[in-house]
Amino acid sequence: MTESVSSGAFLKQPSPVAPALREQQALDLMIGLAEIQVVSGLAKFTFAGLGSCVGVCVLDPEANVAGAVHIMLPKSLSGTASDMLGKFADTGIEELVRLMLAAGADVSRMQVAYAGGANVGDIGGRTSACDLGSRNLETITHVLADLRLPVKATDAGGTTGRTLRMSSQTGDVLVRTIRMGEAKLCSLRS
Amino acid sequence: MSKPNSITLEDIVSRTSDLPTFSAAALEVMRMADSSTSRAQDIARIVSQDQAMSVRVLRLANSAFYGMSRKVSSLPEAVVVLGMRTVKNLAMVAATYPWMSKPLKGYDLAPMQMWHHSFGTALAAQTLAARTRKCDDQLAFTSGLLHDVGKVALSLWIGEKLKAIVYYAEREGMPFDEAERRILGYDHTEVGEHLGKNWNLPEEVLLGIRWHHEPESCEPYHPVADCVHLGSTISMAMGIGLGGDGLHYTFSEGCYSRLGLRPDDTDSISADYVDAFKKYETMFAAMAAA
Repeated sequence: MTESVSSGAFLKQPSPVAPALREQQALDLMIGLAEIQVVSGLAKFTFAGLGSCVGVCVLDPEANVAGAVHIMLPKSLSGTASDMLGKFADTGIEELVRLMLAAGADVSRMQVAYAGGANVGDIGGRTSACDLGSRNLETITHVLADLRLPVKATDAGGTTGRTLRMSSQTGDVLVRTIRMGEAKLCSLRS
Repeated sequence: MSKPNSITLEDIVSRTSDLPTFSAAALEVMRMADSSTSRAQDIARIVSQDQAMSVRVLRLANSAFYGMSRKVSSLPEAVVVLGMRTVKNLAMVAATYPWMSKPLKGYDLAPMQMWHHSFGTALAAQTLAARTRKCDDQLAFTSGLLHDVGKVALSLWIGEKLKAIVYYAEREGMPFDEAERRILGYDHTEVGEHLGKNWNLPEEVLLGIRWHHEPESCEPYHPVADCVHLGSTISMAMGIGLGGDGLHYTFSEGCYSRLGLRPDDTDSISADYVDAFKKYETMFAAMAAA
């Protein structure tokens, strides 16, 4: 049985699926800016066009609980509403983990992969003053370390746009870039 | 890498089939905004001369975005209800959406992506202009909307070369637009400026098109170049209509001080920008139906 829990500024509900099909068909979820999605069961997550934003995928392979958050900015701004938690690295990952725990996951079994965090202007070894991507990655690193979540693999930084996909069934995390095409980053089940 | 052909800017514009056009009515609306003596109802009269644009403007005015309690049934009524400046922006949107929503294979842009990036940049540039009061926000909107128009013409000539240009730019440690100049002889900002001149776009609109990647080179300086530069940068950073060229462009740090902003303002501007962009998606749906 597949169940999904969502949180975020721009909630995108999966289409209603007949109960008989739920056990066979994976939910196909596009994770938009600031969205958090948690699924108990089969799901495919896609983050299209990651620039400085970071797509974070988390899987508990034993509980079959998977989650994703599309982080835009490093630190929450004052007066952040609860439905905006996914916007920020410092609140988005904590909220994602909270929702996964509520869905039956266990922190000790969670595996993480993420991609994105590019900067406009990081060219030829120079670092850009518009460093949203770097600051996103720095905050994400700290938050994951504080939560003691192991990072299986990352594809981050630089100036390239990325599309990130993750299947909860296989655990495969795939990243597409213009130069490399789509390539497997890791499996969160192995 | 040597220049593979000797096609000139003039060739690009004159030999490219399916180039977008700007109707006389759309151009007149654009110029009217520069005149403080423009009467509001003149906008309605001019828009009505272009039937396709009129239909789209009315559809946009009646879209869920504006949440009208009753249907707006005529252009004069739209001007009264929404105001001259909003109707002028809607006319620009109506004039560009049909060709900007198409895919641009040369830049690895799927359907709607060019539109999302163009509209997103327009929205961000307009917001920056209004916030900093450094230039007219409608000028920033129009210039932002058209800033990448050169890509529409150049996409057909780039064809399958995109990956090679990206590879060359990364290997040589240069921005994508410089790689375009080395390989093609010109970049998309130069092609856009040339195309814009052919359309007789206002000079100030051309500045944002030509200098959106290097606003400090805009001589004499005009803040619209900075508004479009920072607007485009924020749009790229948020992944709004990101193409194969990615974020591989120079960032002009000086734009912050020239616009009277601080670097850490980027976070709150980006947060507000994405919220605003998402709200406009209901308008995009109305345009798709038009």
